[in-house]
Amino acid sequence: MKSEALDKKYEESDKESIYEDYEIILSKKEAESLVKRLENGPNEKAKKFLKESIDFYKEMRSEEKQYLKEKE
Amino acid sequence: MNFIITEINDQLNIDLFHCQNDQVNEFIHKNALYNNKNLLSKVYVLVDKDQIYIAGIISLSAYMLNLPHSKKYTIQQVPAVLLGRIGIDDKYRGQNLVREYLIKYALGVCSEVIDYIGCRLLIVEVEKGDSIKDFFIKNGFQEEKSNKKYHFLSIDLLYNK
Repeated sequence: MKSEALDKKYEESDKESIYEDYEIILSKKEAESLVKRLENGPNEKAKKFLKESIDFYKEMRSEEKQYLKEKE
Repeated sequence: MNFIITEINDQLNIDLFHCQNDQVNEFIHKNALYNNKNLLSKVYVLVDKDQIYIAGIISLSAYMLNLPHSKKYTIQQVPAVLLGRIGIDDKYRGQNLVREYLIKYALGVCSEVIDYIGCRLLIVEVEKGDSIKDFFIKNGFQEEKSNKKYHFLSIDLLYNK
């Protein structure tokens, strides 16, 4: 099936949410855009947010351990 | 901090949780413990340490993003984590707990997963008109696709710790 026909078939799905079994299938253009981004790696905003999140996660894990210890 | 995040368990006051999204309410009341126990999804809850209430919930599961046209790149599926159910109990709304706690925690979990399993994206479904989309975009998420009701956003997990 040609890519345009495939895209049309996927767009015709009546499901909207992933929780209604909607499957995210990228069109040719969307797929090319994603693959280019994967080749380049995360943008600066993402890198900053990932770092903040990892630091936060470590702190929360430590808080959780402390809390569970106190509860025992 | 008044909150901790932990895996859902039957010692928590699950029945008291109520948020504005009925699907999330149904999920936490009927499926969350089962799903977590059986590894269908991992369910994390934000717990108010003072009250032992569940203030918020997220679920994480494995997902494959399909790229049927990308043969020339030799990548037809991208492994991902799906940030699924997100909800904040009515008593805790307006405190930015999703942004300040749950999303960051989910990314922290992903940062551990990628040490052991190939997984490149965190994907989230956002209802159209929900202002949280701006928060995601501001923090480096990008829209992969949208349909009539939802945006599907992702963030690249390739980060050198």
